[in-house]
Amino acid sequence: MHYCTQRPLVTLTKIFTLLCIFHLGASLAEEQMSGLDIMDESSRRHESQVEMESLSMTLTDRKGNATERVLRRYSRMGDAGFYKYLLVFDDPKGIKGVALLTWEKEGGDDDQWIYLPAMGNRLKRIASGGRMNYFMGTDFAFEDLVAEQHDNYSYERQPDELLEDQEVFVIDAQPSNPDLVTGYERRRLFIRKDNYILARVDFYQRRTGKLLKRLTVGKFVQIEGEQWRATEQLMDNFGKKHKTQITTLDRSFDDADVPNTVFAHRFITSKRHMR
Amino acid sequence: MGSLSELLLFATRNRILALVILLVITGILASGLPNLKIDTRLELMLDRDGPKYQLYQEVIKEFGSDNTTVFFIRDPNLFTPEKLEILQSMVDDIDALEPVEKVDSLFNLTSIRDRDGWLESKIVLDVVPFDQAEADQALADALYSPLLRGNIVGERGDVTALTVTVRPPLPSEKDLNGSTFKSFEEIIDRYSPDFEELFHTGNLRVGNDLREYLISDIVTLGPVAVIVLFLVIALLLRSPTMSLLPVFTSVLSTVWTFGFMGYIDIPVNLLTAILPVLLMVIGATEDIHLSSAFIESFDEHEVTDRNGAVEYMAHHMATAVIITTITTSIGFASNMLSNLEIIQHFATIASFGILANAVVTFLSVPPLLLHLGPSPEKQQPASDIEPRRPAFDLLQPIADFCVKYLHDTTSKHPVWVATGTLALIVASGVILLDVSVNTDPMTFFPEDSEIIEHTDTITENLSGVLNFFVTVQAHETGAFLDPENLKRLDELVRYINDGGVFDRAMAHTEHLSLVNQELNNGDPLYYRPPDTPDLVEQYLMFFQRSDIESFVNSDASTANIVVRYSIYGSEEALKEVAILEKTANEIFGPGMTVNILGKYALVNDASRQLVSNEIKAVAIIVLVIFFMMWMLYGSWRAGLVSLMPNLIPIIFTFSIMVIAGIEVNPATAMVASIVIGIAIDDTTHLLTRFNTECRKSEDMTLVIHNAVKAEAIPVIVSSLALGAGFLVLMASQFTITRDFGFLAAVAMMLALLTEFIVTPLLLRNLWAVSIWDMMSVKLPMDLLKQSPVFADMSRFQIKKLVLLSVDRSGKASEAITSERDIGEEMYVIISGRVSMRYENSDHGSEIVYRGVGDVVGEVIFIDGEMRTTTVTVEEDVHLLVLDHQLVATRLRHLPYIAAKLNQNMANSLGHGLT
Repeated sequence: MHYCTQRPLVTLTKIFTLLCIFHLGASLAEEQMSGLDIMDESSRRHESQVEMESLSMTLTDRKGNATERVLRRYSRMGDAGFYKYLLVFDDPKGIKGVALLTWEKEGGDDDQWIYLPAMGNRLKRIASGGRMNYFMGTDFAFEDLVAEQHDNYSYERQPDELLEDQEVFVIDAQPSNPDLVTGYERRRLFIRKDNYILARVDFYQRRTGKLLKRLTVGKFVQIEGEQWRATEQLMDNFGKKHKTQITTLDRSFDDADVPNTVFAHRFITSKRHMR
Repeated sequence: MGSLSELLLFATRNRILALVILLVITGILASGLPNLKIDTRLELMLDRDGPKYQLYQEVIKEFGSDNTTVFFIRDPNLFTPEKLEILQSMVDDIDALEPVEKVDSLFNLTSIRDRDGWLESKIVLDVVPFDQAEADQALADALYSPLLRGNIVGERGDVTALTVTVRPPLPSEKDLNGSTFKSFEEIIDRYSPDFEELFHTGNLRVGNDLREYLISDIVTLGPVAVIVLFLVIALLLRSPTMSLLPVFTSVLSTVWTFGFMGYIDIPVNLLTAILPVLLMVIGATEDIHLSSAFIESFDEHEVTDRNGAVEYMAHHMATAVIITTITTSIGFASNMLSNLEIIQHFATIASFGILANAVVTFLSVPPLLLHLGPSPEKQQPASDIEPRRPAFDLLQPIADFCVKYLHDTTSKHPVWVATGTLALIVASGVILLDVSVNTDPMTFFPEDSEIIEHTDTITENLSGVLNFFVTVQAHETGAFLDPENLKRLDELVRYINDGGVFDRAMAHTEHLSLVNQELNNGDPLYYRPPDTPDLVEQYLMFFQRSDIESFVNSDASTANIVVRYSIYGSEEALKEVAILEKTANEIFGPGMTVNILGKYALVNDASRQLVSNEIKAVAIIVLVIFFMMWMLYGSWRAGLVSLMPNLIPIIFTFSIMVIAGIEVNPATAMVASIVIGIAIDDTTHLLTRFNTECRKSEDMTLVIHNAVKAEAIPVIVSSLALGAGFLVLMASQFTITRDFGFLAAVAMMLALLTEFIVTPLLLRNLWAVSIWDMMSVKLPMDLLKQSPVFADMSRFQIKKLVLLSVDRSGKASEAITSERDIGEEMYVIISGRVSMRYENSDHGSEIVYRGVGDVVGEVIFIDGEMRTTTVTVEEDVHLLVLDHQLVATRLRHLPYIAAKLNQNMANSLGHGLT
């Protein structure tokens, strides 16, 4: 069974690189690689155990009105291989300190708490939300942000294409597990051939087959070795005529920047997460 | 009459050319028919130049389209996995349609709920429930949410609604609504077997059903009008051939008119759809007047064949037909000033149609009568006294009855008639104070129509289908994130929701209140907007912008309350909206601007303009007719006489409208101007006849009696035909068309009464000569100018004097006067020659001859004594009869001519004495 352990909130920039902890070993010749092979190779190259990012988020509505947010994201893999994530909003002033804490769990729904500073010093437990719900007013659905079990999908390789002068693999990901809850009929993934990083995803609406939204990833930087990260992501929701632009302002893979204490309840209720 | 009658005779003298003209114009205009479109959009009933429309455009740009359709689904097993799966499939199919902007349903609306201390935020049905327990939970969640309960899902869980928003069409997509409606219908057909009840209604349905009813009206009313008109005229004139004339002219002019509409891209709408019937009934009146004159000519001894009858018809009817065409056309055109496009289009096309009908009539009726009309030769009078008009046998008793009881009797009591009329006008004025207006398209449908039934079903189970926006502009960024302003907004929303007048109000305060309640363990006491600005911003993070973009703009300076309601009728809706607006202004104070907008709100708002528009239209036609008649007859009294008998029935008609509970709507609003334009036709014909009769006798009672009697049959026939034609409109499926037909028919009947009762009273003091008579009268002017009677008079004055005087003609050897007769008249010889025989005591009889321009009997004119000469016609003469009475009455308003005449008579007598 192939699956990714990465969880969404931690990996806004990595979600779509679908990092996995397992890999196939030696790379196969590109021509012979199946869709699943390419997906696994992509996951193998870009995973990270600890990460902290400062992000700016711009929400743009159908009339072009933009709302700016600044946030931080922390992620850390635990001993059992499960991640904990913390998302903290720093700006604008009205939402400063709003936090979302997620503890990944094996075989069940994650534990999640939300913290609203204006409600006092208490964390409110969040019941497992619908996968198709949009996350915090963005154009990312929760299912866009969860780790993708490769066994739940069939990855059909399509003819390669050129995307902004870059050769890309084109893969259609369709749900193969009938019990899988998803809002998409399929997703078309565009993965760069040179570094196996995801460059674009087209999301097609369930049943209607309409192109619902498109994630475009850009401004890639090489972190170390085969590991790359994107600093720009744009989710263009055609259905809602709404866009979410995320820019990475700063990034750290330093263990000291993401201590275990960050993911404790008291870290948040004592407002130490607020800068 | 010369030049105008030539117009009517053109086609008989140039038959081939007339036929070619008819065929060419018909060919050209008929080619426009394929371009003809039907437009039943509500936009046609909006004042698009008004400030509110501009605001409305800004509001829908900001808060989204209000072009919504509600799909209603009822099934006892609705909340079961099987039914919900089918429902989801249907929602997906609707959502897949390109013009659909969004579908609000259980499958995309968010439920926020505290569940045992855990906050659950999810779409009510993000997936189809796996089992019945999940379906029951989904129903419980939906019913728990105040945003959904009674709005999207019914209290018993057996009904739900999908609110579908369709994007506004691009300028090039005129049929977007129609094609989207068809797609909706296909979906309804596909899924109907799966649910107990499934239908949709909303803007698209209203537009479509209006369209279907409209097509049905066109298909049925036109033929019915043809049959009714044919039967009425055939019955009254007893001539099937004559009955075909109006059918022919109206059908052809309808083709011209609709082809013209195709060319200039004016669509068939609710009002233009009744044009075929209108053209039929209005055009028929001219045909009736022409046919009547044609038949009437059989009484004239000099008319011996159809050719003579057509000449007679042209001579007697050209002026009246042209004037009435102009007045009727102006009657319709006066509505062009309306702010509503639907009325502007109707006015433009109807006035074109009337002119087209006149052209068709001029080019076809005279030649058709010449070939197919009854022939005077075939009419065998029963005696010399009886007229050769058996076609009028049936009508004659009716006409006699009207003349005797309506005219002769009332004319003896002018004071009573005037007083009674005035009293009725005052009473009508009081009644008119209660007039109500209505432009609500929902009320155009019959009460038992399916669309009304469906709309009522949705209202009973969920919220009303109709909607409007209450926008509150604070003129300050972030104002509607301020808890104080949110409290005010919440107060207004609660006022609407608790008031029982409107069905449901929704604002972003409802979303905030729900989050506030659920983050406080679901305590209903917290169902209110949060108390601090930070809480407001933090709660809003639970929503996507699209969840609240209909309720608050991006910088939170303007809030928008979406109100659903189910009030039918503009008057009631406007009254309640006015109360709401007042309350909203009180809540928000002078610093904020409140506007109540929406397509239906604007349509209702436009009703306010119907009355003022109609007053403008009536004022225009009244002024135009007044000045036109003044110019034509050289007398402002002619203008008054033309208008008064036609304004009175309008006032009475509108009071009957109020009593009958009929409202002023886009159709009935035009009754006044249209009916004035039509009804004045009969007055014009009566006026023209009166002028002719004036020259036959100086006895005013006799003149009026004869004029009324002569015009009685055509006036009765045309009024009955018009009334019957308008009554055909009562077979329409639209209430507004039925109301229009009823009121127009009532107005025509009232106009018929006033024509017999009021017009003659006004004619009594009217002495006017039409400009056409002045132009066409042929006089031996050179000889007349040498006459002492006309000395120093201009040609114009001579003509006027001649036309205002009584004519008398005599055959050779006929005695004009006899010695020892008592009389006051003197005679001016216009043509011919007479002999005057004096009995002289010295020389016995003495004979003197007099010719053109000479005067006989001038002494009698001065002293009014016994005549001393016998005047005998030597050669056929045409005499002008002058007497004191004439100078005192007919020349009263022409003092210069009267003075000149008296001076000339004095000079003439003076010369005689010397």
